[in-house]
Amino acid sequence: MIGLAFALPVSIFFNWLERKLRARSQFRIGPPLLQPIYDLIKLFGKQNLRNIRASPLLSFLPLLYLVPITLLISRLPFGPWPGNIDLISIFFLLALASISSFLSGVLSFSPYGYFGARRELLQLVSYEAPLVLAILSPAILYSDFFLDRGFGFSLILHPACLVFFLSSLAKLRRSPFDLPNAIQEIVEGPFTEFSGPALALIHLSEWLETFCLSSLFYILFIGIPNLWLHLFSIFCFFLLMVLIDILTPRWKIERLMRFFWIFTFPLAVIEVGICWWLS
Amino acid sequence: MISRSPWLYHFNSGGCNGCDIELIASIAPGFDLERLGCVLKGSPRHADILLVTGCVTKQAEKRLKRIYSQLAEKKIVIAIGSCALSGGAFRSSYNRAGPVDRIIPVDIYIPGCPPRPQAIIHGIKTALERL
Ligand code: SF4
Repeated sequence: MIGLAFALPVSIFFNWLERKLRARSQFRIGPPLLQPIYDLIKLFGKQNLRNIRASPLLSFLPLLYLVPITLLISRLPFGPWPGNIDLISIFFLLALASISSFLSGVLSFSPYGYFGARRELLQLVSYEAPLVLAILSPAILYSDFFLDRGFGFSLILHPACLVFFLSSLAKLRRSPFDLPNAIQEIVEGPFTEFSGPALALIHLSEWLETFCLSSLFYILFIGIPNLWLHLFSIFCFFLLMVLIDILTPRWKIERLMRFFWIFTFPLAVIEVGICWWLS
Repeated sequence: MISRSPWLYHFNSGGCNGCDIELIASIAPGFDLERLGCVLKGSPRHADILLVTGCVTKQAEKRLKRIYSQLAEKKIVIAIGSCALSGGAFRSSYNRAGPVDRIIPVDIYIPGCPPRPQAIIHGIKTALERL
C-alpha cells in the first residue's frame, strides 16, 4: 500500500521530467512543472465520446489496464516495507495489462487500433518469454518464489538485468520498440479511439506501469531495503529509459522480433540455466 | 483546465501548405508551443482545439464536419490563413465549399497569407484566455 502512495506523485513527476528532457534535447523550453496534473484534470472533465461501431466493452478496458498495475504496485515490497506477492501473480498481472491494450485495439474497430493491436501482439510474443525468464532467474538462484522483500545483489545476475531492461523497454512501448503506438504511423495505435476520462485512465496506467517495472527491477536485482536507494534506482532506470527513447529511432517489427528471439531469449535461457546450476 | 493543457489537432482542408508550414514552425524549436501545454495530437478524439487551414474544398467539406463531430466537448475551432477566413487566393475556385465558418462554428480567426508563427501563437493564446 505504501508503494502506491509513492507511485502516484513520482510517476507524475517522471512524466513531466520526460517531456522536459525531450524538449531540452530539441532546444525547446518544455512544459511547466504541473503540466501532467493539468492534463489529467482536463481529461477527467471532458466528454467521453463513444464510437457507435466500437464494442460496448471498450469503456471497461482502461480499468483492465489500471487495476492490475495498481494491484501489483500495492503488493510489491517498497523500500523498507515488506511486500506480499508471489512470482506467478506478477506474471499474470503484467500480462493482463498488455492484453488489455491489445483488446482495446481490436474492440475499437478502427484501422489504427487494429494495426496497433497486431503490433502489440507480435511484440508481446517477442518480449514476454525473455521477461519471464529474467524475473525467474533470481528466484531460481535464491530458491524463493515469494517476494516479501527484495532479492540480494549478485554479479551472476547481470545478464538477467540486461534482459529485463530490454524487455521492459518493449513492454512500456518505448523507442526503439514503440511500434504499437507509433504516433507518426498509426496515430496512437490501440488508444486512438479513447477520449476524456478513459484516456486519462490509460495515461495514468502507462505512467504507473513505468514506475512498477522500475520498482520491480530494484526488488529483483538490487533489493536492499532502503527507501532512498529504492527511489534513486527507480530514477536511474527511468532516466536511462528516457535517454534511449529520445536517442533511438523506431525499429521495424522483423528486426525487433529477430533481436528478441536471437539475442535476448537465448541469453535469458543461458542465464536461467546458470542460476539453476548454481542453486 | 483546457486553458492549461490545450491539445491541438490540425486539418488542412485544401490550402497551398504555406499555413501548415508556419503552424509546424510555431510548434517546433524556436517558438515552442509546448510552453503553453500544447501538444499536437494525431487523433481528433484526443484534441481540444481544431486548427483548420485552407479554403475547404467540396471534397474536404464532409470530412471537416466529421472531424468536428469527433472532437470531445468542449472544443474550440481556430481558422488559420486567408484561405480559411475568406477563400484567399482560391476565392473564385470552382470547387470551393466556402470559408470554414460557413461549415462549422469558428471561435478565432487568424488572418495572413500565411500568418507568421507569432500570430498563430497569439491566436491560440487569445482563444485560451477567452475560456
Ligand atoms: S492562406 Fe495563403 S499560405 Fe495559407 S493556405 Fe491559403 S494560400 Fe496558402
